[in-house]
Amino acid sequence: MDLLAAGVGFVSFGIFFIIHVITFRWLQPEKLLRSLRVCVLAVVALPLVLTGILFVNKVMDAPLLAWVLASLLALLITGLVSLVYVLCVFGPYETSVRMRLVREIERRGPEGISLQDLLRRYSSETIMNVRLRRLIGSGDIIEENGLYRSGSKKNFLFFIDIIAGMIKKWIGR
Amino acid sequence: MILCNRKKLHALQISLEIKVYNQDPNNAMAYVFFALLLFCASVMVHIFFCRKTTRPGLQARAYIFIAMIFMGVYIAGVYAAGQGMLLDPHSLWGLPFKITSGVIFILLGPVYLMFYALTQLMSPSKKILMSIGRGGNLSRADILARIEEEDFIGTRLRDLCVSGCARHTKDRYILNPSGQKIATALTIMQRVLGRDMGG
Repeated sequence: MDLLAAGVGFVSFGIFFIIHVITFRWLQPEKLLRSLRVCVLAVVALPLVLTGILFVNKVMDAPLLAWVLASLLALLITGLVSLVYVLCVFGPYETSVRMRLVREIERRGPEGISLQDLLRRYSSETIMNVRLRRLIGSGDIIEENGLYRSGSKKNFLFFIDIIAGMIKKWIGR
Repeated sequence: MILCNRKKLHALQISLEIKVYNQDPNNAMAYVFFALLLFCASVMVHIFFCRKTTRPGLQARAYIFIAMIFMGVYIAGVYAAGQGMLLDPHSLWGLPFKITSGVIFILLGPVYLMFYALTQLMSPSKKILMSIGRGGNLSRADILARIEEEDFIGTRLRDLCVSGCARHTKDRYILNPSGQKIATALTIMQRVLGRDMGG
């Protein structure tokens, strides 16, 4: 049952990853945050369905409570692997300024790139434009007559910021 | 005859296991609580370390080291529980969730590290949201001024040079071998994901 719970957790993430790789290829930046949220929420339900199927097929002799616990732990594993993937792999690939700079330098090969050439391809304005599209698409900010204001105050970044703020307070610097 | 007896014995064994399990279902979660407790302890030790250390910058390696020690404690604890029959493993056929709890402990590490890294970094999206949150209605020019004030490109280029991923020679930025490896990994990711360059 132990291996089954961990296995269901990882298989569910595998299904999420395949769906993500197929569907996100054509996704515009403005639809990225919203689609990612929907995708993660939908896939978190998958471990419950998978353990339900295994339970109905009597794959293993175990009491009902064990199955319930296994499905909840599988759900936790899927959620955590998805979070690790989004925060540590997909997020940095899609949004990290450093990663973009590494790729811009790499494009020029061994002779490297000057700051002027780099800024022609990737500037503060590019950074702003991409983020404004993304944040408007997710509803975090609203554009009206060329002016931008806050949309939803309880956005994903706000939630992350609260936790990061708590850790910063505890560290004390 | 022997086969029939074996089957009966096996069925009896399973029914006994389920019976004992039902009498003490809390045992099933003991390993999960143990792993969560150790994760909280590892975070507390890391926070204590960060408060005391005089070394500047992110202390991510220190957390990895602390987490590895606590992982060792978890493995030792699970082994001791099995050896000392502390949790009566025979009552939990297939349970208790030793591996699952270990996996949860391992996965919580990078999640904590990401939140910890955010305490030291300012992202452009966060800067935009904070500026709009504080300043109310802002135009594109206002937002661009806030972004330029933070100098995201300059600070990141300096970080890349300090960390050894790139070097700055004769007014040009050139990737070092470690930076090349990151660039190769990003190219592979681009092929898999089929998306444009991020940033």
